[in-house]
Parts: sequence; C-alpha cells; structure tokens
Amino acid sequence: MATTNSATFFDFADQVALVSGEVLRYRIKNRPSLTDKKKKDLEDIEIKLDEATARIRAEGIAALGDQTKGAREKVESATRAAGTVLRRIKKVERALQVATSVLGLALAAIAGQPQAILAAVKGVKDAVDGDAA
Amino acid sequence: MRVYFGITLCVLLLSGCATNLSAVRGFADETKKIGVAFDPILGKAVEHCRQQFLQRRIYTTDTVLAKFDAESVLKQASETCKPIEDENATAKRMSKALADYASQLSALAADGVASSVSDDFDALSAKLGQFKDAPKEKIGAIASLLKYITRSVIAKSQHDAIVEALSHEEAVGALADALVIYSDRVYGGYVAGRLSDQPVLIEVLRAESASPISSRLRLMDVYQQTQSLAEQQKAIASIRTAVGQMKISMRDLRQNVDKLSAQERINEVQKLAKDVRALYDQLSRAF
Repeated sequence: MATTNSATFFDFADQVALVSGEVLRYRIKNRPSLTDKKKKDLEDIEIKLDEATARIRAEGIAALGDQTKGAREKVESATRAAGTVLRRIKKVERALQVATSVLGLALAAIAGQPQAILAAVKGVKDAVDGDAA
Repeated sequence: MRVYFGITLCVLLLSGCATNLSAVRGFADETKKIGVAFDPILGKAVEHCRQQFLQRRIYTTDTVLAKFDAESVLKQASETCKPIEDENATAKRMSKALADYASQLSALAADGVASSVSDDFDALSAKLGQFKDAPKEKIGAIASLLKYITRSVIAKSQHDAIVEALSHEEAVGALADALVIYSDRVYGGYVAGRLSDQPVLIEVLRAESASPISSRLRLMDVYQQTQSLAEQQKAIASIRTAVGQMKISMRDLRQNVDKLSAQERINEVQKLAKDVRALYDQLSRAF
C-alpha cells in the first residue's frame, strides 16, 4: 500500500493554518459588529483548526519518517560496519599490548624480581581488560 | 636476500603511499555539525506552536478577563502542540542516524588509526630487545617488517571502510534532505504562521486605549519578536545551503575515492565548512 507523501500532509496543514489565520483576522476586524456568542464560536473554530494543523503536521513528520526509513536503515548499517572495522583495528592494538605485557612478565620472572613480576602481571591484566572493553 | 628485498619493496609500496584523509575527516566533522545544528530546531518548532497559541489567547481572545484561566490556557497550548512534540522522535532518529554516521566516518579517517599500531609495535620490539640472549638486530628487523605490514593492512582496511561508507551517498543525502524538509515545513510553518499573526497583534494593541503605556511596551515586544522571527526564518535557507554543499562534497569524495588527498576534495570540504559556519552564525543571530 502506497503511503501518503509527507508533502501532501504539509501542504494540507498549511492550508488549515491559513484558514485559521483568516478566521482570526475576520474576528478581530469585525469585533464591534459580532455578538459575544459569535466571537466565542469563531475563537473555538480557530482553536480546533490550530489543533488540526498540529496533528496534520505530525502526520507529515511520520510520513517523512516512513519515506526515509530505508535510507536511515542503510546509513545505520553503514555506521555499524564502520564501527566493526574500528573495533578490529583496536583488537590488533590490544593484541600487541598483551604480547608486550607478557614479555614484560617473562623478563621479570627471569630476573627474579617479585615487585617487577607483580607490576608485569598488572600490565597483562590491564591489557586484557582493555581488550574486553 | 632477493626474497627480503621483495618483501621490503611490497611493504614500501603498501605503506609509502598513505592517503591524506583530511578531506574525508573534514567532510564528516562538518556533516556532524549540521546534525547538531538541526536538533534545537525540533524543540523550537514545538515552542513556536505553543507561542502562537498563547499569543492568540493573550492578545486576541474575547474571553472576559474575570474568566481568563492562565493554567488552562497553558495546558491547552501544550495539548495542541503535543502531536508535534511526540512525532519529533521520528525526526530525531533521522538526525541521530546522520550524526552517528558522520562520527564513525570521522573516526575511520582519524590521523592516528594506522600509526597507533606502529607505536604498539615499537613497545613490543623494545621489550623483546630486553632479553639478554636475544639477537637484537634480527628481532628489530622482524619487528619493523611486521610493523609495516600490519600498518599497511590496517591502512587498507581503513581506506576500504571509508570507500564503503561513502558509497551510501544516496541514503545519506535523503536523510539530510529530510532534515531540510522538517526545518522548512514544520518549524518554518510555525515561524510563518507567527509572522502572519504579528500585524493582527499590532492592530489589537493599537486599538487598546485603556492602558496606552502598557500597549506601547507590548508593541515594542511584538516589533522585537518580528525581527527575531525574520532571523529564524533565514536559518532555514542556511540549513538548505549547508545540506546542498554537503551533498556536493560527498558526491565529490565518492566519485574520487582513489584521489582523496587531492586539493579539489579539500576545496569542496572548505566550501562546506564555510556554509556550516554561516549556518551557525545565522543560528546565533536567530536564537
């Protein structure tokens, strides 16, 4: 089923808003000759027309959303794909950092330095945590 | 020796012609700015809807003063404009999709993407060099070779990802156009409505003889509002111009993915930056 083009809603809303403006001008121009009831009725019509304008413009926004749904999904998919590449690059960096940390641990163990071992273990943990992030 | 020379040559060919991605980055950053500039327009559309309703009730109502209920009028204004406020979520999704896309494209084209890996390789090779019995020269040569190969592979996947992102030119253009349509037809519709109400407000105030000083003050307010509304209306044209140049710039990048470093690409992005600056200048005059 074909959806109504957003421009159709927006054009219609503009027409309703124009009529509301005309009712306002008529009411103000003819104030001295209009009865209180007539003035109230006219103002009520303006309010109804303004409510209708907002509702039709909102329909226009919804139609615009429908019209661009496919484009939005394509752009969102492209954004996710770019994010995947960036994460893959990050993973290479993390792998190198982990390897460097493991070597640091090996060096400390060979030298038999307890403090250095603890620091190196923390280095490995930090690198692994970074990978998980 | 011949094999080593061959590998070195390949590596140099791969890594030596690193592309300057500043045009892509500039395009992405300016596109994101358009998305950011659009977001306040959503709230302003609702605000104009409410203000139009309120001003009509304050200046032109025929309800007698004793029966004027401020709380009820404010509530009615909010209810009248609620459909726009609710449906703004749809427009927000469009601007968010555009801004997120631009952010990721900017991150892909960032300077440090390939070179940060080199830094990690340097750290690794330094650590290897600390082993007493390790053949330092060989380790250094292998680490350097690996560094350049990895960097080249990363630079290639970075370039491929940028080409893929730019291939969605039509979809990105459609989203950007939708932001212009919203600005013109929803926000612009209310600005135009308020502008056409201003002469009526002036007519009512001039006819108000009970409190001339108060009427004069109100007339000053209406005059200033009219000036401000005219500036806000100009912002729509600025958004349209910026989006138009954004589409030209994106087409230029997409059609020349093998020449992203060329000055022509940078020139188009500079035009976009100029239009986005003009948009921000107009918005600061308007709001």
